[in-house]
Amino acid sequence: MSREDDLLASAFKSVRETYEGHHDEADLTLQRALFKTRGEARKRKIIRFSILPIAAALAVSSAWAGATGHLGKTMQDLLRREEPVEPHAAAVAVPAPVASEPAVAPLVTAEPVAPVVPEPVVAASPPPPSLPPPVRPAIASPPPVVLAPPPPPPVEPVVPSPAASAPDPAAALFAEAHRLHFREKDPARALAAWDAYLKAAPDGPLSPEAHYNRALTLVRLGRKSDAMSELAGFANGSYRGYRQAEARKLLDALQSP
Amino acid sequence: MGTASLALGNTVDDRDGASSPPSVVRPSQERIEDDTPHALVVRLQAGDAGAIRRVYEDHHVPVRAFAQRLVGDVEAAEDLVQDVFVALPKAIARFRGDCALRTFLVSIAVNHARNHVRAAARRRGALARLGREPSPSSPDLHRDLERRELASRLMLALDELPLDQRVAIVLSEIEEQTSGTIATIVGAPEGTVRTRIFHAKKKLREILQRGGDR
Repeated sequence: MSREDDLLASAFKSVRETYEGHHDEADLTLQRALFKTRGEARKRKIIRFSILPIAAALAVSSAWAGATGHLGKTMQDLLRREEPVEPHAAAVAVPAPVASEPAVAPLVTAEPVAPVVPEPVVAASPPPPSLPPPVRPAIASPPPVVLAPPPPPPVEPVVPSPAASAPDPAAALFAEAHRLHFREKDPARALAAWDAYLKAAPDGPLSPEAHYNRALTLVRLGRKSDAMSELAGFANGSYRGYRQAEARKLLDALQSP
Repeated sequence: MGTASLALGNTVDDRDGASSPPSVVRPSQERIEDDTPHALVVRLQAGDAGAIRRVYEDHHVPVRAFAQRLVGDVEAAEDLVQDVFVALPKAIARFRGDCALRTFLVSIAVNHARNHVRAAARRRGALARLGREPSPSSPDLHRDLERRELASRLMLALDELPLDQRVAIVLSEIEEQTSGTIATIVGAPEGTVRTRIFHAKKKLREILQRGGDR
């Protein structure tokens, strides 16, 4: 055996003899271990008798709510509450009664896409013959700006449709309807487009806004009773107060002689 | 099995008479019933304090000895011993009876040793830099001085080994366990254990030689 091996063997022996497993506070160590063990057991009991039953109760109630349809309504309410404001909806958030229609135009023209042109477009395209008299003043009433277009008929600018870049079909339909309604100001085509959107996404996140805009197009087209029935839903709070005040004003305006 | 029924405490009530309901097991009675290892294991699984106490009383000295020899620090070893007995009720589910309960306890200690070894090594390193020896755990005689100095040198050398080699060499050379038992404790093949021991010894020889030459 070499000198290194002797040294190593001596070192092992010395460690063995130095540490023999005794400690003055061995009892204290046991007490601490038992205390911690009891704590762990208590934690397990709390989980078993408190947290697990609560979790089970939640699971059962969720299953019950799901089965009876309560969950769907609640979730829908929650989603509606959490729903972010859609930019286009915000742009037309100003009440749009018939008389205040011009107020919409500046908001729309504030968008960078079509800053100046919308008014001439309105002037250049004659109103559809089907428009009844009460609605016509609303369109014709805007201030002199409308009456002062440059003599050559303006070439309609190519407004890139948001539909082209919309990722899903429902969003594309909404964007197209919005364009027809607020940029092209073509109520007939806009109505068809809103109907198409609502058919594609009857419960979509933007369907309340689509219903409201549909009501506006009905007003423009002179379909008073259809417009009133559509607006009645908003006025009586079916959409959780969304556009309720505007709808009431519009209904009042429509009902007034 | 008879042991299982003992663990459930039925016999306790038979002995005790009709005074206590069958489900109530008093700690003093547990001590009478806990002789069989199987019953002890069943009660440990239930987190029974009496069973933990019994196992501690039977095995704390060898478990502590291993912890001290592995960690090289009396206080850190005490924390490790505590960890072993706190972890026991949960860990006992893995106990299959294919080794002694003491071996199983040592294997728990090995699994919990990493942080304690690291902390003790840091402390030792700091003390070594200050040029002081760790204070002895008991006031001993002068003849122990050389032995303690050698033990300290070995501990500093062990600090330079990877943990698996350290565990293997401590179990093999200090605890004097066979490579089969070490393999059971560390959960590695015997060949691997022997390789670890070989490399650990080689490194320790070099380190001690290096220290001796200085």
